This record gives sequence, C-alpha cells and structure tokens, in this order.
Amino acid sequence: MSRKLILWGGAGLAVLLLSCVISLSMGTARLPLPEVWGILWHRLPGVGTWVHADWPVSSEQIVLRVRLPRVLLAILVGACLSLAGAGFQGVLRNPLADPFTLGVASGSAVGASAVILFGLQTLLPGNWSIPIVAFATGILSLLLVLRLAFLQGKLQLETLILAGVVVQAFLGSAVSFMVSLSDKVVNEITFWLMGSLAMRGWPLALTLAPYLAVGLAVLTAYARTLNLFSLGERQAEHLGVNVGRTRLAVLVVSTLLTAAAVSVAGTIGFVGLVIPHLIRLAAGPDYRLLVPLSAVFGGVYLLWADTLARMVLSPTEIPLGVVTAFLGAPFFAYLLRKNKRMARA
Amino acid sequence: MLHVEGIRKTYGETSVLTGVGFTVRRGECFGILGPNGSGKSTLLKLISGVEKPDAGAIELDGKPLSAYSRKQLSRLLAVLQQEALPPVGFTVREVIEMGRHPYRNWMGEEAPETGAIVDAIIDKLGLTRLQDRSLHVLSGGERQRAALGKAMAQQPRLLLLDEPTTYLDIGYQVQMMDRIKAWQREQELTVIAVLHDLNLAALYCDRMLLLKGGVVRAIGTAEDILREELIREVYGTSPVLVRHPEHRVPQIMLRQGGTRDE
Repeated sequence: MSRKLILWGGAGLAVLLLSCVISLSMGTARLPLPEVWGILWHRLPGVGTWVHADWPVSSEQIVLRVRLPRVLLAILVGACLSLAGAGFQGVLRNPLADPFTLGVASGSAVGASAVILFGLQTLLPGNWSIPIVAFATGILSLLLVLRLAFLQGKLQLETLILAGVVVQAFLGSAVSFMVSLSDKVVNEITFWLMGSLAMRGWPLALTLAPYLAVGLAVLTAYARTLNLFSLGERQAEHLGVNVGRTRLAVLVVSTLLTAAAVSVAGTIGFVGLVIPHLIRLAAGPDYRLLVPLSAVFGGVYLLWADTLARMVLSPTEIPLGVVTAFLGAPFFAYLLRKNKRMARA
Repeated sequence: MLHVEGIRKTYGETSVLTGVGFTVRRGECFGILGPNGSGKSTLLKLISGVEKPDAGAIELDGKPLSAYSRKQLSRLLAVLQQEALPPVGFTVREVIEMGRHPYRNWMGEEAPETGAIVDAIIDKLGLTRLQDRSLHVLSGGERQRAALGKAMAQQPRLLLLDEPTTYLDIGYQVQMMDRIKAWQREQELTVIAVLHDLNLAALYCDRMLLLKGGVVRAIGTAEDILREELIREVYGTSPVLVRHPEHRVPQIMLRQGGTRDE
C-alpha cells in the first residue's frame, strides 16, 4: 500500500511539476523552458543564489506576476473539485456523484452570485464572505437533493443524479434571474459563472489553500472508513463504523471544498467525476490512494484544461467551465452506460 | 449468551414485533423461522444493534446491548447478510482484512497478528487461489464465501446469519452451512440464523423460534417446530412430514394444492 502510494504519488507530483513549467512557458509571449526553470529556481530560498539570472526582467514579471498565480489557482481548484468528487462518490456509493451533478456547485453559485449582486463582498474581513455564503447555500442544496432522492429510506443510484439535475436546473435559473436583475454587474457574474481563472492574482490563490488543506486532511483520515463504505452502509456498520458521523463529516467537507472552488472560479463541472474514476481504473479502489492522488491529478487536469482555455483561441479566452464540460460530459455519458451494463449483469 | 425479553418494534403505524422473548446459550445454533413479513429480519436488526427496539431488553453477555459501543459490538458479533458483497474492485484478501477493522487502533494501524489470522482464514475457506482476484470478477457463491471470511476475521463470539443461503445453489448452501458448523464447533461460537428453508434449519439448528405476525408462536427443537398442524397454522400450507433417513430429523415435503384459502 505505502509503496504504491509513494510510486504513484511521486509520479503524480513529477507530472504536476512538469506540467507547471510547460504551462508557464505557454502564452502570448512564448518563453523557453530552461528560462522558466531558472526563474522558478531563482526564487527558491537557499538554492536561488546558484542560478545566474540571465533573462529579461519582463520574463520574470510574466512568470511570477501573471502566470504563476493562475497556474497555482488552477491546481488548487482542480484539487478541491476532484477531492470533493471522491468524497461524494465514496460516501454516497455512487460513481456518478460529483459537485456538479449533485447540484452542490450550482447551490454554491447561487450564494456567491447573491453576494456579488448585492455587493456584500466586504461583509466579512478578507476573502471570506463569498466562500462562507457559498458553503451555506451549497449545504442547503445538497440536503434538498438528498431529500428528493431518498425513496423509502433507500438511496437509488439514478434517482440521486436526477434529483441533482432538477435542483441544478432550478438553481441555475435562480442565478440567471439574479444576473438579469442588475445589468451593472452582469459581466462580473456571468464571466465568473462560466468559470474562469483569469486575472485572479495571488491573494485569491492563497485563500483556497487552507480549504484544500482541511479537506485533504479530513478525507485522508476517513479513507479507510470509505473503503468499508464501498461494501455497503450496513456492512460498514457491522464492522464498527459510525456510519452517521462518517456521512456527515465527508459530506460537509466535500461541500466545503466545492464551495471554496466555486467561490474563486465559478462552476467548473465534471472534474470530480473524471479524475477519481481514472485513478480507480489505474490504481484500484483503495481510498488511501484515491484521496491523495485525486488531489494531485485533479490539479494536473485542471491546469491543462485552463492552459487549453487560454491557448486554443488565443488571445480570446474560452471559459474554463466550457472546456471541462466538453471533456467531462462525454465521460459522464460513458460512465452512465458502463453502470447500466454492470447493473444488468 | 443472548437474552431477549419483551421486545416491541413498530414502524409508523404498523407493529412488526410484539412481546418477543427468548434466550440463546453459548455455542448453540439458534434458528429464527417464519413466513414473509413475520418480522424475522427486523428481529435480527435489533439483535445486531443497527436498530433499537421501542420497548424490551436485549442483553449480550449479561450487559444491555445499548451499553456496547459500535466498535466493541463489532468485536463480539458479526453479521452475514443475504445479499452477497457488492462487486467492488477490492481483492478477496483485502475484503477479509476489512474484517479486522474493529481491532485497529485509533491511528488505523493493524494489530501485529492480522496477517496470520487472514492467512489462516483464506486457507480454511479454500480461497488461496482466489485471494488476489477482485470481487467483481467472482461468482455470487464465491463472493458470499469472501463475506464469510470477513465475518470470521472479526473473530466474533456471536454470528448472525440473515438468510445467507438465499441466492446460493444447493451445493453452495450445504458447503456454507457446513463451514459455519465447523467454525462453530472449533470456537464455541454462538449462531443465530434467520432461515427461509425449514429443512435446512432442521438439519443445522439445535433449537428454533417460529414467528407469526411479529409474535413468538413456538420455540423448540426441530421435532417441536416441524409439525404438520403448526406449519399449516403459520404458513397456510399443509406439507408432508418425513424423517430424514440419515440425520433422523424431521423434513417437510411440499404438496400441491395444500394452500388454505385466506
């Protein structure tokens, strides 16, 4: 187990670092890879003095001021969404669950757009207002979806997703309604809604870090329990698991991760669906691997999605949510078919 | 070992169990029988502690069930369910190791003897060849065997069976019950089994309880329970009773047109 984790985790981190450097070099101004390496090394305390700075100041400005915050933000958002997906899937025992399909992302978006619409961003100090309100509305919409999906005390696989779709459609309209209420902030909300990481700067990237740290820690602690959950809630209970407490903790933390990601980047769908599933295929169903690897590869995935978003039609940007939906929705269709086939067999 | 007294359980308006009481001795195999909807599975849920009775007392080893924590309980009793384990990607060995969960410390570390215990179980159940296969490629019978292994790994003193042979063919049924019987003798395990099949119950249970509409109709040996008028009263069909030529226990044979009009 731990050897497998070191192997996969090491590979994941290497891929992540490499992706960072390549993505940093891409853009309207193309920078050579060794230069990007140099700039990054130069900034590391201790080793910085070993690197001779022979690049133009403008390159350093582009890498450190413009591109690096965005790259980091993409990684953090991807890690949050992917972790949230793994959490939802584990505790609801539903491979189709994800912040987006469960309507949690839209729920958080309602709260966040309300804050933007009414100009309440400064209600709480720092960057806390939007995430906290988004978390509250995210939890509420999750409760609504679960309530709709529970039929005679049983949680049906497709019913859950159906309930998610219904709630999401309703909340999506609520957001559109808020957008139409005020034309002054229309651009701000719509742009943010479709998902974008442009021009967010350092402060926003850093606010996401504590949420990710908490989420990763809690889900790692519950990894073994989620393994037992995969056999069924009653099986887990017979093995001494406190089912109610586990469900509450994992759902709350996954919603928190979703709300944090939505607050800074809008609704970016299907990340939590694609990444955990691919990791299950490659590394097996063990949550002790799945949780950390989801974070790492979720970061890699969103970093590349964002790189695509800003490169394909450069200098025009495609909304990030559009890119992930183009990649994720067909994947969702594939999963749906696969699960149908398994249910029939 | 287990003492149940005056149990009542209602779901909303419908009362499922009323005044149910019985005692099970250490090392005994105790069957719970009754027609569909007679409250068998509910009774088992109450004994396993996943649900609480509305009234009455359940004592395990002289202590009320509610005084045990979920984790303590999982070291004392294991449950083998009707449905086989879901077709997950975990291997047989990993699933059996999950049975050791109640013995992990708060850091999630395994007790040092875990490996040896799991090896012994795999060997005993003849799962050596299958141990590294994942559950989703196994047949229902093989998955049920893995579930038995998981229950064994819990090293319980009381094993609850919830119709574990329902989806198995007759070969697997007998094999499963024989394995449980052997385990029972070795470890002085107490077994409480909800069974649908009266003949299987007569073959393997020392004593049995017959439920009718949530009330205890009779408790006794196979001789006491498998009687024509009792079966007719409880199940509404008149069977033919015969004696098993080898095991000397009563067995029933179904008869066409034996249904009583309701």
